[in-house]
Order: sequence, then C-alpha cells, then structure tokens
Amino acid sequence: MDNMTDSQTNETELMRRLALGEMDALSEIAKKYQNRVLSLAYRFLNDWSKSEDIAQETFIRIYKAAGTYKPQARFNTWLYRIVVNLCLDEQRKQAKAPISIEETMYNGASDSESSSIERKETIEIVKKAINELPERQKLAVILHRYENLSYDQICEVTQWSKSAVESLLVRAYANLREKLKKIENNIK
Amino acid sequence: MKCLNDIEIMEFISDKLDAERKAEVQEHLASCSECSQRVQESSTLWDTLGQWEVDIASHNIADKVIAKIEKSESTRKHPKFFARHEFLMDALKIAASIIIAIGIGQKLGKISAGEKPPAIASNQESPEYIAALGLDWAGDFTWLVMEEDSSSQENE
Repeated sequence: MDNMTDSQTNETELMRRLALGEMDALSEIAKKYQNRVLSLAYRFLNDWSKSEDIAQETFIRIYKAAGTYKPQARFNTWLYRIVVNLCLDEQRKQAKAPISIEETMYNGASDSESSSIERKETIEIVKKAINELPERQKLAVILHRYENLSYDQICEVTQWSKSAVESLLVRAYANLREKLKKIENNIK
Repeated sequence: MKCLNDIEIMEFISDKLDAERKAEVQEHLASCSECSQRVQESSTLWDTLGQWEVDIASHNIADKVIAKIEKSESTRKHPKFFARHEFLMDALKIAASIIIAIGIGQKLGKISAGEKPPAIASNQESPEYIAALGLDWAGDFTWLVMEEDSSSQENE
C-alpha cells in the first residue's frame, strides 16, 4: 500500500512538472507505463499498428491534460480509463469493417519468439478464444487476468457497476473454460 | 464458512484477497473437496491464459510521443510559409473588396447627386493620402473631398 501511495505521489509530481512544460516528465511517464498501455491495447485489438497509435494518443492526452490534472483518482486508473476508451472507440470503428480470423491470427507475429511450437499453438488458441468473447467480457478478462486489476479497479476504469463486472467476469471465465477445455485436457 | 463463489475463487487464484480472507479460504479448501476441485480447475485455466505473453521490447512509444508533440508545438509557434501566404492572400482580397466598394459607391453617388463636380485648379498639389489610394487628384473622386472641405468651412 505504501508503494502504491509513493507511486501516486511520484506521478502527481511528474504531472506537475509536465504542466510546467518539462518534457522529461512525459518521457518518464511514457517509459514507465508504455508496456501496460501497449499490452492492454494489443490484447484487445490484436493489431500492433493500431495499438501503437493508441499508446501514442494516450500519452498525448496525458500531456494535454497536465495543466488541469487533479489527482482525485489513482493515476493508474485514470491512465487505464483513457486506454480503455480509445480501445473501445477503435473496436467500434473496426466493427464496421471486420477483419477475418486469419488476419487476426497472423497479426501477432512478434509474440514471444522463444515459445515452442506446442506453446505457440496454445497461445494462438488462447488468443482466438479471448477474441471470440463479447466485447465487454473480453475487456473485463484482459483487465483482470493480464493487467492484474481487482474487481473494484475494473469498476473504476470501465465505470461499469460492480455487479456488472462480476457477472461479466464469471461468464467470460466460464466461456473460456469451455473453449479451452481441449487444451486443458491435453495439458493434464 | 460456506462454499466459495466463482468470484472468490478467481480472487483467491489471482492473489487479490487480503491476508485474513485468504486464510479463511485456505481453511475452507482444506475441508471441502468440491471447492478444492473448482479451485484446481480455475487455477489451470488461469495458467493456460497466462501463456499468452506479448513482447513489447521492440516498441518505443516514449520517444515517438515526445517527437510528435515537439513537432506539433513547433508548427504552432512557427507557421509554415504557405500558411502566412494564405493570410496575405486573404488580406489582399479584403483590401480589393474595399477599393471596389469605394469605386462603386463613388459612381453611384455621382449619378444620384446629378451635380457637376467642382473644378479643381490644375496647379493645386495632390495630398499624399489621395496618391496613396492610387487616385487621380484632378479626377472624379476629389470633388467629394473638396465638397467636404467647403462644407466644414461654412460651419466655421
């Protein structure tokens, strides 16, 4: 908890410096959070180019908001909220021109290259299973499983009710369990 | 303690429960085979999902964002030549419109007045502001100026 408070204090100080025009502060924020922003955007959109655009836009929005930033919510939560909104906007744009599963499968070429063939197959099946989830279930699972957010944090980021988040996660994990049963049997 | 719900199981697996609650769950699992089975299944699912790692080492967002903002700020502070040129073109268009409007107004005024403009002595020197407007001192425009001057003299 102390680390969390220290981190928040540090981020508030970085935002104060950024408001004064110190670009080093933005660089520090971007370097610290770019991995989280990119991984969330990539897992949600499955497209590196669009994920990079979203990551850049996220930090540009942070830069523009520095002058009016008030540390009411945790910095993490605020940052994730920006990314989530950008991802949902992008997903809705994509929905108008949907891409095929084949394109989706080959788009993530830069996933861990050290993986074995079997592991790669498992990863592709996991990706496919997550991408087949309804939009809100998919987002809830990504925030919970991969970004390690608690239920309360997911509620704050998405601004969905606690009962909605709980229901989405229960259904999402049940769907994934069903889809991945085949792999689990192989692992056992 | 009653059996765990799905949410509690996922929170237990992802280690998000506080120490007190975690101890209660562990105690329950030691005596409930059904919940232990469900925790085992969820744990396997959790690990399987965890195999999807993304490699972000090759992406450098920080430098790109700084470069993008600095470029945008620079463009805002120092507009490109075409932008300045566009402004000049607008200014010229406005100036031309004013001159045309003056010309038309002058012609219309002459028609409606139906008077012959007063003669101007050819040796009278042209004021600088008339020359600056590109008008001929002895031409049609100057009688308006002369008339104004004579009316102001009468008032005095």
